[in-house]
Amino acid sequence: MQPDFAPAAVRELTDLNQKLATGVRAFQGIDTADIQIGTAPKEAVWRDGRVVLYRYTPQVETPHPVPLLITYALVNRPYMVDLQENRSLVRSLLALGLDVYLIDWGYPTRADRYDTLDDHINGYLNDAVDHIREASGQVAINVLGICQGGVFSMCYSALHPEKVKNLVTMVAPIDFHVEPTADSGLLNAWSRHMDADLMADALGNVPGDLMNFGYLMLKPFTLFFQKYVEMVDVLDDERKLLNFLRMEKWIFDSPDQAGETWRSFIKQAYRDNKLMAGAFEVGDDTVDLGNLTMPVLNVYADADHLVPPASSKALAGLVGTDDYTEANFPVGHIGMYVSGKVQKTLPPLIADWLKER
Amino acid sequence: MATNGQAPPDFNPAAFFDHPAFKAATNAQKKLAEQMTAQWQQAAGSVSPDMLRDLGAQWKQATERMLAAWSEQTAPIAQQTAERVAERAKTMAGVTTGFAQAWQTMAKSVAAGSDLSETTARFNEAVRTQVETMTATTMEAANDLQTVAQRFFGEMQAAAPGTPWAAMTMPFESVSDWAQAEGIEAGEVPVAALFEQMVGTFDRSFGRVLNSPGLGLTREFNEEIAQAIAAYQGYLREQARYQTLMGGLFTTSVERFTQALGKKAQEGEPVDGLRALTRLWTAEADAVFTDAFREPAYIEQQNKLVAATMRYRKQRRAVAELFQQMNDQPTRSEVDEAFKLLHGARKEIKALRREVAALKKQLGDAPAAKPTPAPKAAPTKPTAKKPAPKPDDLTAISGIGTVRAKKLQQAGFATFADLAAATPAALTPAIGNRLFDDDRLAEVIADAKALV
Repeated sequence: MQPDFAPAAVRELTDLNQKLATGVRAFQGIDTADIQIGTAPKEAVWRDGRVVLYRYTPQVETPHPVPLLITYALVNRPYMVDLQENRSLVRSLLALGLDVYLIDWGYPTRADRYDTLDDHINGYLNDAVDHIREASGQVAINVLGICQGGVFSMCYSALHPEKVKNLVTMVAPIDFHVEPTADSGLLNAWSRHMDADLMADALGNVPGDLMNFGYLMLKPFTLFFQKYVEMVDVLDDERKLLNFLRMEKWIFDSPDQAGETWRSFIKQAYRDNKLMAGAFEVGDDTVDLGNLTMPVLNVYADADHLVPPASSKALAGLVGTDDYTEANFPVGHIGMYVSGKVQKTLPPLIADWLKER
Repeated sequence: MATNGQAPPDFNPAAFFDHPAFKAATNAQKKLAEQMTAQWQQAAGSVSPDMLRDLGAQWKQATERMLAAWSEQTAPIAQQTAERVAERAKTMAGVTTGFAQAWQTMAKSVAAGSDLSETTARFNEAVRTQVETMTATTMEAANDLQTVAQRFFGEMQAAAPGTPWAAMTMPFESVSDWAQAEGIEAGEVPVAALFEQMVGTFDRSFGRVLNSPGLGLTREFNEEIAQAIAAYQGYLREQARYQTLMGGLFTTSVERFTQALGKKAQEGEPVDGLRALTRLWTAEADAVFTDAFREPAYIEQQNKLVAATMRYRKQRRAVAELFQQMNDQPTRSEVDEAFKLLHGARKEIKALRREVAALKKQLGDAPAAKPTPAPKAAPTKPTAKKPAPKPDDLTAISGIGTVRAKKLQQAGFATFADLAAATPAALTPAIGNRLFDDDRLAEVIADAKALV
């Protein structure tokens, strides 16, 4: 049966125009101040230059005595873990009685160009951990590392195992040479043969916009085009529109990458896959993941196009602990924090796992 | 399916070099040159001895005459070029409209019983013809503009002997001569050939001017500028190759998209609206692009483009820094050196802070009562234990702070005597870097000798 195109097309165009009109009005009514991310109350308790350690205001009378430090990647702002009130890993963990800290790497300037992996891991991260240890009276604390922050946390925990009670890694890459498939690992393939030295020498710090452009090019039509076609459908719903704008704000808020750290990370991880070989260097130290003798919870996303599940799962064969648990969810890299379903089951899973240890 | 940017196999670029319109344009331009030369000679011949006395008025008259002749002769060429450009725009619009109508037409046609692959092939053929025409028109317009510019410079040279404009004209009569000289084969993507032509012209004209002596104050300056030009050309080339690749992927995406449309119609589920259309386009195009993105050939070209961009950026900075130095201004490199020193200073201060905090705790000044072990003055290393205090304070040596002192101690140089007996090569593994080269390390050794 031949479909009758004309009336359907007219209806669709009318509908579209109506949405666009509402959208224009909606955008005029929204202030940038209305697009708030990371609203869970927190306090800056320690800082070193641009790096700030925050403690979230506990939401229970007596929080769990061992504090939890969340370490995010350098390549985005960390407030994906506290995106909005009903999608906040942080708020959920606080509600479950945990004492949550977060390290905010700040925005590197040209003056920070020479900061190394050592500065980040044995410097900022270690000093933040030491502060928490002293403030809480705990010899060892819990650490939760996300993505590249997971790599940093693993390196840190392997170099200072006496200071880390339990380690949680989320969507963290370990094997950077996993074969790319149609659905994941393209970033690995692209980064593996990049001339990181030439880029770091020419750019100083790698601009956040360049990093961002690379991520968008992984799915060019979806992320440059289709996403905004579909945005039209949420224009008339202020709640959905704000959700969309919050994500957009987070996606495009990309800090520059300190040149020396970026250079070393690309060469050691993406090019040489040194974590797997036990040859990853942080300053004068070499990271042996066999030193991860504390309990480890490794959370990964089945549909992760940035960090293939196989990359995360490679940790299993490297840790030195027998108390190793994996947990996976049928979402993507960011879906972990944005999916309502995951945000119901993931926080209790983490909190229970930590409390049992 | 073509994913490497090659033109469809049955397309022949030599065909449009032989295009009658193209040949007519070339002949018109030759005529223009002859007419302009005649005009110039006429203008020059009409200068009388009386006129020579009033040079200002003569120059003004000659220029006006030249401009009148120029605009009279150029107008048809300019119009022709404008028409070609407009034709191209119309073709583009036609291609876009064609796409928009295609899904409707194809769906109807297939639903009415025509063969899917035949329908798709006809559509693809129509698209291909339009794209070819568009490319041909672009080449012609580009060639017109280039030849007009060439003639202009040629006439400028004839009017003012001794200027270097001669070096700026391309020595080839026509694009086909150039193509032959460059050895461009049938089957090469015409857009890539166009880019190569632009880059080559730039190379042969501007590059030649810059190779002449006496452009800059120093040979170093000339060299840096020449390298910057070369880096820019390298960037243009890689950009052109990359864009050619991407263009090919786009063409393939269109093919896949139309096939998908037809398939949907065939399965009795024709696309029913704009949303469904864009969703289908995005799905097909992303699949094509991401498949190609995984291929080594694409990754290599992407990396080449990035590398060429970076090299150009570095070279631009080198040129800028020469200018800055000549004008006694600070350079980016100098500021970065300062940042490097600052970074080192920050690290030393942090290490000092930790040591002070540890000392304070030892002396009992720290706030009491918490059952916490004192934070270490330096991170513990699993491979090397923190050494016991050494007899000599190596920080007494100029340039050796607590960090370098610690590194030297860990490397086995505990006393001034140890250092005095060492060589720069022996110290390099511990503290050698760009600042602490062999000469600087020799100074350290000499200072240590004085303190023994």
